[in-house]
Amino acid sequence: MPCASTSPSEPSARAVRSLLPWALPFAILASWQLASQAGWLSTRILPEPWAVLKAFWALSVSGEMWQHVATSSARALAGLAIGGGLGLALGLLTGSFRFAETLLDSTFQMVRNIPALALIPLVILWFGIDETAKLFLVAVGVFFPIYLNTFHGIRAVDPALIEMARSYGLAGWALYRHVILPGALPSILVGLRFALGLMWVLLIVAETISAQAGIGYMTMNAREFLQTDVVLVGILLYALLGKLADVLARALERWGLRWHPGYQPAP
Amino acid sequence: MHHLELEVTEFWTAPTARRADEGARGALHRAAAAPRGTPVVLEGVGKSFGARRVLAGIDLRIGAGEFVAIVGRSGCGKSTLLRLLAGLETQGEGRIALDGRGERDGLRVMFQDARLLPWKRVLDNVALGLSGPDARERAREALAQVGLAERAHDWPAVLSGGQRQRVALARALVHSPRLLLLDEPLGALDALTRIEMQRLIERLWQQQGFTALLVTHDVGEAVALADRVLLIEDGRIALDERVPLVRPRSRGDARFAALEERILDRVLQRPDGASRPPAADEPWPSAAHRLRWAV
Repeated sequence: MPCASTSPSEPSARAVRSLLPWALPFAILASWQLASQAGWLSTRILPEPWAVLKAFWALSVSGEMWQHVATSSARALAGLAIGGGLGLALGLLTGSFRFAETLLDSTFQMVRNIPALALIPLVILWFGIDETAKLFLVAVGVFFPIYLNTFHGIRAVDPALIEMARSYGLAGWALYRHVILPGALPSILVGLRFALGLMWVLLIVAETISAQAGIGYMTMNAREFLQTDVVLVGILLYALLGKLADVLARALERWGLRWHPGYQPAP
Repeated sequence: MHHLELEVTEFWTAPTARRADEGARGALHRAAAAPRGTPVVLEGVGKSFGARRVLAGIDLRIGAGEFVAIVGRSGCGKSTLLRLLAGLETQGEGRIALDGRGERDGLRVMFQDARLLPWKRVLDNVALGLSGPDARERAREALAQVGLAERAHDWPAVLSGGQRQRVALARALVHSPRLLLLDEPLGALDALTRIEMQRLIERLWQQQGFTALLVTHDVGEAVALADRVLLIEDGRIALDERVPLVRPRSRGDARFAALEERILDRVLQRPDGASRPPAADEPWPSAAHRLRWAV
């Protein structure tokens, strides 16, 4: 142990440090696999990791899985486009015009406190259980994080910069494009990352209630046939898609905020 | 002489700005030709914020191409006067007239903080508000004038405070202003950078011939740069002193020091004598001339 702390730059010490976080997950997987093989863990409760991998492989080779992934992703993105687009537009509106804020903002603040999932019974009554219901749920869920962060982003733009830009002859759209929008961007992107997280949660719930295609359909179908390995593949897919969305949002942040000292690449 | 009187708030509407911008194109080259400064006339200018009277009855004439420095204690109204001229405050009473052939916008402000847009690279910051195909070329030229040509593609965040102010100066000068308003632009810089910047401003002023109005805390800076030093006290012009020294001025010069001390003494001397430094039993003997920051 003493050598690990004395020279952290030593290659072997660094390798240990970078591998150490993976030790526990690997140990859990290994003991899970062992427990399943030894028969301590029923496949009805939890299939062995190896079986999950095999199911993943079989489903992706047959192409079935990709269809479901495509359906779910299309739903998620459509919901994000509708809800996020509205949130962005209204956030820009209330952020930029006092009158719009007075008119709309307190209503949004009240509605914001209703959890989107609490609307499910109403949504089923209104739209039945088809696509519209799922899109509506996702759209309502992603609307608020994007709306709120856009609004605050616009309001937080440094008034000194706006004054400077005005005194240099910028007005109207030019002022918006060169000063206000870029100034609000960090906050808007934070809203987008929140929205992406919520988007998958809402979609999972919506698809679990009822669907004729998609990852949720695949897992619920598998549940009826006690295919726990397929259920786990579905859960894994949701996790991977969520991670992918977050990675993309981070990449967007790094690109869009490359001027920001907080986002400079480490030297 | 045709005096154009206008509401200062009208200075900054975009269409006129663009027009002047096109007129000024290429002016960097012919800048040295004739004095292009705007004469400024203020008559009975006053301003109140609520019940507080910040400026009252300011009468002031500034000649074309003149360099005027305004000193005074914090809160004396000197910055308000500059902001009124710039159209950044809604006008109070009185008249502000800028002479010229209807050119309402040959005026640029340099602020205390550089106010660069952090999301634009240095060159694009300088080109802000410029239009036309040669906008970037002109911005590059202005950047070279302040000695920062090689930083054109850096983000403002990586520049030092002095470099940022130089970029801000380039951004103001690229419009070939006829009146440059400087609102304590060097206040936050270290002593060496400040002297460097003062020389740069003086050199560019001499080359381009604009009228300059500098608001500063630093009496030494005012004496080093200005043709005339004004003291504003309780919202009025309390002192209007010519600086007869030839340029380039040396701070070591005896007359420089004498003038600086006289103005500083006048700044520190309040009518009620409340904040006058102790004279008889001075704990810091004869340090008054070294205390150039008359805050």
